[in-house]
Amino acid sequence: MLSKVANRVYWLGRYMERTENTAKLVNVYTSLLLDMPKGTDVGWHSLLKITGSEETFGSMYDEMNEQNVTSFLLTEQRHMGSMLCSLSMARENARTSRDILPREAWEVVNEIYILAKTDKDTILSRSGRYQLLTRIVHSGQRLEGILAGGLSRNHTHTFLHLGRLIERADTTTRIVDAGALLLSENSLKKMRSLEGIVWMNLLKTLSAYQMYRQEVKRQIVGTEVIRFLLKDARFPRSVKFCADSLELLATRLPNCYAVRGKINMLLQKLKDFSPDGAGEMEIHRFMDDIQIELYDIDSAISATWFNSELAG
Amino acid sequence: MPIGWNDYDPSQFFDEVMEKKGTPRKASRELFEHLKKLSSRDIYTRKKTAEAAIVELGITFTVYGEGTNIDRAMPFDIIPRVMCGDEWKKISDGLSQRLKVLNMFINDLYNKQEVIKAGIIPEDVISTSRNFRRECIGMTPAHGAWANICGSDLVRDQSGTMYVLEDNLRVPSGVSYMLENRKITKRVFPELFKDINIIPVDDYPSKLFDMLTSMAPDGASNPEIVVLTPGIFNSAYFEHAFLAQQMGAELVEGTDLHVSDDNRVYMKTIEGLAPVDVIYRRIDDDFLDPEVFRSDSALGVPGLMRAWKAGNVAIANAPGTGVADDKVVYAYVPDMIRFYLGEEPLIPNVETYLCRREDHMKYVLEHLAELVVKPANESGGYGMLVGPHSTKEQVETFRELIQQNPRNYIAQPTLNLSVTPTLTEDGIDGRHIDLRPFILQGSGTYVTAGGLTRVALKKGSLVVNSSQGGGSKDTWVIEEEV
Repeated sequence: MLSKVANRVYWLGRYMERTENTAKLVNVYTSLLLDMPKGTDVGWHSLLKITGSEETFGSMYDEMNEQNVTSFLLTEQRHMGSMLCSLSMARENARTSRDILPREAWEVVNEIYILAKTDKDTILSRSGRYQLLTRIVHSGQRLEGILAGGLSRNHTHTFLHLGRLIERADTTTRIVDAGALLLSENSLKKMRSLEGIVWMNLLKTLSAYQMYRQEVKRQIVGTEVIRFLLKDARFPRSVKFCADSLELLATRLPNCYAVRGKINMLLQKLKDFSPDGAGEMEIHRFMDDIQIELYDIDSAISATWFNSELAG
Repeated sequence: MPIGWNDYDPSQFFDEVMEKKGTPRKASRELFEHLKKLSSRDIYTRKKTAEAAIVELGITFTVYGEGTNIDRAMPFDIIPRVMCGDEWKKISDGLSQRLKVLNMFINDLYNKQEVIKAGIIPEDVISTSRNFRRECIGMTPAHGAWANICGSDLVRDQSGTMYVLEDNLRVPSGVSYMLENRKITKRVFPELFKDINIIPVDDYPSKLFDMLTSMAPDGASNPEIVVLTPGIFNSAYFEHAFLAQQMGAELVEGTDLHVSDDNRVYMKTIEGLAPVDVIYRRIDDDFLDPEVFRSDSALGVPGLMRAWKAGNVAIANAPGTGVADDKVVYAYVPDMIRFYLGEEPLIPNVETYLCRREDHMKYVLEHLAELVVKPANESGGYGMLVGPHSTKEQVETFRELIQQNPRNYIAQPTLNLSVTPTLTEDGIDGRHIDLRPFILQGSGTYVTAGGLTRVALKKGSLVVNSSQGGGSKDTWVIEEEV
């Protein structure tokens, strides 16, 4: 497989995952806000914290209101991390990889892009947003289905999923981080009754609520949610599951030694960590650590397969 | 309300579908009867279906200089153009004959040059040809085939005679639209495909693949084939990706390839360097190899010519093929057919005046306002003068251009190109068309069933190029039942 093509499909995977995650995040967050009592300072700024984009936002907008934050996260052309930008780059990568993808894969990516772009204004109104974002998420899942059923388990498949998994693990750490951050808000500390609602909504962001219930069968408690999202070996969005799958996929590729080394470091970190008794700051720092590990894996992938040193 | 079929009048032009007002040609009868039954609302709904399909399928072409919005949906007309199988058989034979001779000619030029020695074609036409590549002298590619993929443009005049207007031998494009047009038309008129014997066209990619395989250097039983594209900004990028996909070949850019000291071509893969056997190039000669041609080009592959000349890689179309793409050379093709095959051309050329000949130039300058003037080596409809549709200033500009560089210009009478019923905003109306069939030559020869019909969508316009606002439609070759 051409290095350049491998790089493209890897990023196609990342961008599509990011698109889906952003859509879900905004959707769930909108519904979370409806549950929050007046007087809490949980607001749209938290969404910027979760996505780590406060600074970029600040350089473009003055006020952190619903309108500005959602348009920044969803449709802002100047913000490379916005859903529409991710989608537009995913489309470009799919378009230039049409020769190796099942035809329907390109069609569905193109379709989601057209949907998001033409209905830009609908996204920004609260009433239209839910429906449209749900459609975007569903189309993303259709893409998964097309790839699952129509793409040979070849290198294209491997790179697409490496990209997906890295992005997915990254999102999960951000969501866990968000939980910790939200609960460290002063106003919320006073209202411990809200803890359950916050975690429940975060689980929903990751489509993890039902699986959590089935696995843990207990009240929704922070430490259990964190354990589940980081260390559960069977839930596809947990960091552990993503890391295991990354490792498995990497072994299918040539010269995978360095990449596997990095993945194993991440797995070791996860194994050593226990959420029991961990304070909000500790969790926050640990999530940062994992994000750095993921970044290292990404760099190793890029150095091993995308730069083809041999090629001179 | 029915669409205005009863008012449709091809007037003085030859019409591809209608024999005369109210009477369809034999091959078009079923199509006509069916379309007549549809209400105009139904027809426009189907037009919308087609437009939606084009956007959905991402069928686009690229326009230069439009900023970021470079990808445009291909304009498409839903009413097919129809040809009968018997007529097509003759045309198809004529096209095979032509490509066979063009390849004999190119091979002769780079080797013995018998055609020049025999006085069939003047030596200076070749020595002044921009696309004659000295670097290719002494080469003979597999099967003597240089132009492996040819797109010849055919036009019909008002009497219905089919002519070859030009041969595109460098990097002809449009075949992907031919295939996509069929796909869309099947969606738009599924019921017609059940009742009419329309010859399928979708075996083209596998014929192309077989042809490329037959070019592979000796010993490669399962050759690695790549499609070499200039990249996403090229106007035909969609097609490059499409063909690579359909053939299961790698789509590469120059930077993905590497020629080592052993004069072999490799591609850069996740496993390191992997050997390449056949390159279907969609880059012009000029940009192919900066070691040999333009040194400032970043599109090509340094050393590619070395590898090709060493016989380690096949390139389709071969470098140097463009010499036969020259519109001055075109004028001599009928003579070449007689010279190389001892046969008469099965499809005639359009009458052509060569400005390099004094007598022709005199005539051309006196009749500029009636003629179509073309530069010898452009493509895409650029740099042309259509006399009857031009201003005085444009005519004068061309008068000067021709006098400055007679070798570079040819002129042809303005043909009354045939028309075919086309859906416009106010119903059915005739529009001028041409036809680009695709011919392959490797170890054997293959001609597409029909080809790409291009339509001048503007009323009265004769310019069909997509870069100049033209569109396209499906082309049906109908096999009559015996």
